[in-house]
Amino acid sequence: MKNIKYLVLTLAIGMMLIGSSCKKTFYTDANINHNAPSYVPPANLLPVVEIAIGYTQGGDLSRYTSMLTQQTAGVSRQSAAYYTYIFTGQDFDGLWGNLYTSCMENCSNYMQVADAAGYNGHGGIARILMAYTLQLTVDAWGNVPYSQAFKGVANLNPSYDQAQSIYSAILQLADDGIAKMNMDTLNSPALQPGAEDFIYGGNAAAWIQFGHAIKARVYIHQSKNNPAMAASALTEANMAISSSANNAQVLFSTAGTGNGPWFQFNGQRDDINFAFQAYPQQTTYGAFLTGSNDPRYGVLIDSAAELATGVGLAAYYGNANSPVEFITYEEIQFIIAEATLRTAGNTPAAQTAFTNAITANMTKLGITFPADSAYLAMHGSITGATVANALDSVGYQEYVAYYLNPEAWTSWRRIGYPVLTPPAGSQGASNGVPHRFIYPQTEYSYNGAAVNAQGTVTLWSPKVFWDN
Amino acid sequence: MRKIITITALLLAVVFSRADAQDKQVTGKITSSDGSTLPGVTVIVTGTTIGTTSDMDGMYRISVPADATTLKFILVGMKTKEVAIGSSSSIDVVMETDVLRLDEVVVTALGIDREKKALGYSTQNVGGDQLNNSGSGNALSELSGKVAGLEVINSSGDPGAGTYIQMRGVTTLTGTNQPLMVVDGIPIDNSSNFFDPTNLNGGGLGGVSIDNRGIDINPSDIESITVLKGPAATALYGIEAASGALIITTKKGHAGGKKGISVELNSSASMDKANQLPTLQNIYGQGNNYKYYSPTSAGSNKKFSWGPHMDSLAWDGNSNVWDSHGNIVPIGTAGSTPITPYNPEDFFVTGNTYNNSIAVSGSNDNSGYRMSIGNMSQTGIIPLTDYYKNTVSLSGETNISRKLRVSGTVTYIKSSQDKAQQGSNTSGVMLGLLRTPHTFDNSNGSSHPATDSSAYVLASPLASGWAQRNYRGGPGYDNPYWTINMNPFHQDLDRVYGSMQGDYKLYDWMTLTYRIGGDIYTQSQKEAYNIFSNAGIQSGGAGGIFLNDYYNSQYNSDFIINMKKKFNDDFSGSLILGQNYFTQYGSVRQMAGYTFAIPTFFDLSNSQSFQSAEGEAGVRRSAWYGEGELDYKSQLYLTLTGRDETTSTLSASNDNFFYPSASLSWVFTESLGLSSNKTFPYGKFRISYAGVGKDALAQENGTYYKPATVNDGFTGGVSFPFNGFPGYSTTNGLVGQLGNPNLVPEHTNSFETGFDLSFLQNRISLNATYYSEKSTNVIFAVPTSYATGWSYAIFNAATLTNHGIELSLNTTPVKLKNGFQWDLNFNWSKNTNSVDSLYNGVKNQLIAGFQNGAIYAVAGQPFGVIYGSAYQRSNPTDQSSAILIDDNKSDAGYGMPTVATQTTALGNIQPDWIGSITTNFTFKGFTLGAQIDIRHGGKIWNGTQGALDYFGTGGPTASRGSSQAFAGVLGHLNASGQVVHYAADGVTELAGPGSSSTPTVVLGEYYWQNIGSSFIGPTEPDVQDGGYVKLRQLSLTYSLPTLCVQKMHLQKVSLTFFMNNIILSTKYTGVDPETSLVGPQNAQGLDYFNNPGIKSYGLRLNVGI
Repeated sequence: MKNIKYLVLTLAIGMMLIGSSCKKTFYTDANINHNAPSYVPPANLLPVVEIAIGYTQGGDLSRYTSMLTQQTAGVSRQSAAYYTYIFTGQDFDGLWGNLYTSCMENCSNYMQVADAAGYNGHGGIARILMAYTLQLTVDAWGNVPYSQAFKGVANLNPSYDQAQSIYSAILQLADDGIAKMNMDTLNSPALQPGAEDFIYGGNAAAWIQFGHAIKARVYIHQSKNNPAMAASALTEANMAISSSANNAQVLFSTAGTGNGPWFQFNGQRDDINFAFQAYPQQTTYGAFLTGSNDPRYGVLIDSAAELATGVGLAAYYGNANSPVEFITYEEIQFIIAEATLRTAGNTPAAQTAFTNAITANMTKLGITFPADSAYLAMHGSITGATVANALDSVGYQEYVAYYLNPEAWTSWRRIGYPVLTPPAGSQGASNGVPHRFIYPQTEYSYNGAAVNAQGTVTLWSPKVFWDN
Repeated sequence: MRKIITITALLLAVVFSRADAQDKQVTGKITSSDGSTLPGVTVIVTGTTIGTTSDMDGMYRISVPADATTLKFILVGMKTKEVAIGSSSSIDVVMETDVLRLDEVVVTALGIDREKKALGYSTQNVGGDQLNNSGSGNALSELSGKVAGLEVINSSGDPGAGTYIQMRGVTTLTGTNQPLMVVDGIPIDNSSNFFDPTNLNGGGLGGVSIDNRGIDINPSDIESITVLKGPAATALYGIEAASGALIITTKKGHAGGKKGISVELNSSASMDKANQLPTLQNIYGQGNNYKYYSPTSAGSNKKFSWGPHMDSLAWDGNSNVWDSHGNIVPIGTAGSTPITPYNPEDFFVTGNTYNNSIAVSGSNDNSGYRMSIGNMSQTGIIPLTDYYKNTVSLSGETNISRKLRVSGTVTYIKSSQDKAQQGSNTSGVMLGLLRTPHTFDNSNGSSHPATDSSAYVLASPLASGWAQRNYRGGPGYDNPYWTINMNPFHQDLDRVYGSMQGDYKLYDWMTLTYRIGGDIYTQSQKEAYNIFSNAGIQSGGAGGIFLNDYYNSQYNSDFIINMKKKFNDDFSGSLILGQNYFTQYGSVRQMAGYTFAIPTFFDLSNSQSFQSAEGEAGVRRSAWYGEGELDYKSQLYLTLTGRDETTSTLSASNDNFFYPSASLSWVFTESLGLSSNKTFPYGKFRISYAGVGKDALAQENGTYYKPATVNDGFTGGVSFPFNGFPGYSTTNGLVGQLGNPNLVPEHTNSFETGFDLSFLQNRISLNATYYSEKSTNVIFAVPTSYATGWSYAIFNAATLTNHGIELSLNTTPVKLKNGFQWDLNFNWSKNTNSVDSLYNGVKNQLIAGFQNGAIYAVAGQPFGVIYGSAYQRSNPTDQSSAILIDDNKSDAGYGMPTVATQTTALGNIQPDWIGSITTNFTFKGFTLGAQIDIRHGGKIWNGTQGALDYFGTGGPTASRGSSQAFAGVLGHLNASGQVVHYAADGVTELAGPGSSSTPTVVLGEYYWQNIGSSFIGPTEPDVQDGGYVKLRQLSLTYSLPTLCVQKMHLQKVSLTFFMNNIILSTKYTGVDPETSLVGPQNAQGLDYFNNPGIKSYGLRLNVGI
């Protein structure tokens, strides 16, 4: 009997010891994530970056900037507040967050994966897309983090770089991207980008044109009172997007999980008006276009639909599978016109580019003879006794052509035309139309020292360096 | 299912196996010191598992082994007595009344029974008879007010809504702060499993009022719940019990229990109604600027209730699809009748809850069993919502030999729920209902709108165009009758949990126990949005369906050696050594289909595009533990514990950790010789110190690719695969999280002291506890600057402290010889929490919420700060300085407060204190009981009010057009962001604020839309006091006299009439302030179109056969 007791006790203690003798992998294996790939090839990273940039630009960035330029009018809920300049830092959290994480961190990771595996084409695309997103960010906020950004835990408090130095980095990224694209053909076809590239389907020549287009844009931004920059813009523009077929844009999808940002906003929120004579807020843009009998009004805006259902954005930009345009051929032609004006004055070359730009924009929108010719006859000439006056013509046409594109705000800030007055009841109306975004609340909460070093920031001050 | 059968078969084998023959029969009679016979006394052969109970006449018979020396007689309310057996075969016993219940035994960690007086920490016990009072069938919500320091929040009155429980404050930021639930020694899962397609980044801000798995337990099966409040009590449980534990003991059949078969029947039926709804104005109709705009009018004017006075409107009687009463025309129009304003309260119906359970138990000398079946059937106050729950439970034990006892229990639960959409969700019931202008009748004049499609469908069958009838002409917000019919949410749950245990008495002083058990469930949810539903899952009301299947399994094994030794007359001690193994695995399979082809066909095959996801996570842990207790003269007890844990969620080099506890209990009345003193017979002082470690969540030490999504705060966004291309991202929308391979365990250290006192024959007893806890190295997802590339990074970072007081005072002010008794009990507790630090440079962390109203953890403040935009102060760095009143005459907001651009802390969700008063009057079979719950302080963001004021249906907007001057100083911010004011010329800006003589301005639509409500304006005006005083329950019970019952051959019959939540006193202007948008999660204190709470009236019948 005693022996049985000892046996039981020995067995019992033995059982207890088993518990502690487990191998470490007994535990660590239980913690493995089986739902995440350990490696993702560039072909499954590129589409994410392109769609992220498209959705972010076509989302908050397009909505905010188009309301500031009065291409659209916020009429209810948050959009009504934004339209009258009632913004808090939190209103920029989503936009800033998407630019830094969904767009640029994903792009940065894509770049590293592509470079590590020797994909030249993917490496080039990554640099060009990074340059483009960075330019969108700097033009909205001025000084922002870049050189210390995207480092994860290695730097949780990235400091802010001077906007001007980021402009240099953008040019460098574009140059490096173009160089990489030129080496794309050195890769075997299997390593070259293909259908997963929603912008150009892997066409290296088109990407190189996009790279030059970014450079042209960056130079023209700095061309106010600086003919040297205008000259550089002209040089780059002549190597940039050569036809509307090569427009840099992302097309969204009719599939339920892939609808475009404006289509989703209008369908889910319906807080923004587009039309002239819509209630309660007509758009300045609508007023301008109807006032000049612009045939584009009826193509871009469906005022009947706005009155009936509240959604007045017409099919070209308002469908589920509409494009979000990054840089278009007409923009390049406008850059040539503006750069020519700033360097050589109102010459025939400027007029040619100007006419090309308007025609390209109308053709893209499906406006053909005689409507386009009739409009050009009325409004197609660069007029003005001085270069400044001539620039107003370009400024106005850029404002019309860059519909819903953040570049319209940038162009307005540089050229100062058309004349915009703050909507009735705007907060801080005496300061005029805003010239920049304020930093997001998350930066004040989680990166306080770095953002506070930028001093007090309002929607008007300090201006982005090229805007002074 | 196969597992269920196996477990049941094993259990039956255990119950019906026969025990060994015994050696000698002892019989006797048990009486009380006053001479009355005592039935139901447990008689145990000391040192064995052999036992029996006395019959109705106090007689007992027990088989005693030859080597047995003493018998132990135990009965609640009497002092336990031990009698030597000797050679006699007849032992009569006289037992003494124990008013102090000093021998009361409580269940502690790991199911170890200990004398209550030996415990050096605070516990509180709730009997099973107190868990069926409200008829809700939810044991967790029944705990409300019954335990000092236990905070219970029912998320809403929906059938199957979640119940949040918290003790002693918040000890961790993103993990659970709810206590561990243990049923018969086995930890069971209390998760909330949900997917909210309407708020992809929002963590449950929309969707339905989610449940938690703790509501599954049938309260009729619960014998008692012991609440272990702090780390000292739960140190042996370790990781999972850092926030306390609920030790649930179920009713079982006991070997040696009452002979024969007994049956218990519990039956209740109640009616439920909404107990409080937000205040609304009923004066102005649909439209804008005092002008009427119909549902089909163009533009956005129809969205509001800023229309004309209702007295000026009439129906023309020309019935149309939008309004069967006719078009709205000016009053006095020929043939018209004045309109009757719509009353949103008409939407709610009377809910019904039926709870039935029957239990059969029986026993003989060696075996006992209990079987129970429970059925709950509930319909909600929101039409077409329901909750059905069936539980089957079987338990038994048998003495295989006089050394070996085997016992087991298994419970199977099957439930289903149909729920309505709520919260921040354009298909939410309350959102559409309360925003409806009162000139629009959501029911379209139907007498049965919940099932009459003419209330909510324009054209039938659904064809093209906007086919939904609502006040905005289709788009916008769903008609509530549409959403309950066209946006079904159905959940099915199958769950089984149970355990088996063997106890082997190796020596008189040593018992070996092995217990193994598990908890397995599958939970399936099917949620669909018909074509033309407005939920933000798809643009233009294309429709969609979401299938979510959750599976969870967890197993727990404990091997325990329990040793007891009496060293001499003064000293005795016990030592427990144990080994624990725990494993948990959970998975989810999600399938979504978008864009329906056929209306009202809620099936995945009806979709044009699809998306799917799967997730798995598991945890493995093992631990050694021990507890040693030393007892000096039954008056001084020292207990030491330790637990050494290894976990799978930390990397191999950090995965092992140890934590100890020590506690001391001193029954000083024994030492002072007061035990026979009538005035002050019992006093105990207790003090303890404990540490508890806690590991990370599964997979927090790595950074992973996920299928990519891109979205913003306004739209559903885009997800991959896109155009047939899968895409992956580590940043995952705006919630990308960087893992950390270097995590170490969190630690909570706790100090606790207190005393238990008893006066005047236990007519007054007082328990008081002070505790102080500090949690360090708290693991959480530190929010990072997006410029790092990620939104969060996991760190051991935060430090949190809690300290507080818990008091419970039980009194019997009146006790008369004729049987009249009045009991009056109080529970009171106050917890002070502080998030001492988060992470270097990180000031705050979002827990959940909206841009204009969210719950944060803020460094240096208590957890649960409502953070949002505030009015601009004249001194921007001093929130208590005067509000800056807009002095720009060209602004629409001239003369009104200005709004700051950065967010500020506006209040805290934690109450200052909570308390309850319970009272019972008992007389001749009647018991009149009442319970009042009090929550003092604690803010709630009333986002519902903000939105309603914006749209013009909110109560405060009834005073539109009135004038007032705002207190503050004139000024504004200049382009550089400095406070300035205008000189007399109205143009020149002078530094600093100006005059405090502010202009009188009209409060109109601009004010309510931009300044006075948090919908798009500042958060500040909608932060409200969520305190309340609530008559939680009033009940009257009549128990039939024993003689009468016996004539019917029954044991017990009682009938109770009860009323729940019938009086609510609160300053809160929304629904019942006991509410939670996100359900049983950490971010309490959010109200954004939460479904309302309920009050109920019911009857309960309890019969024992």
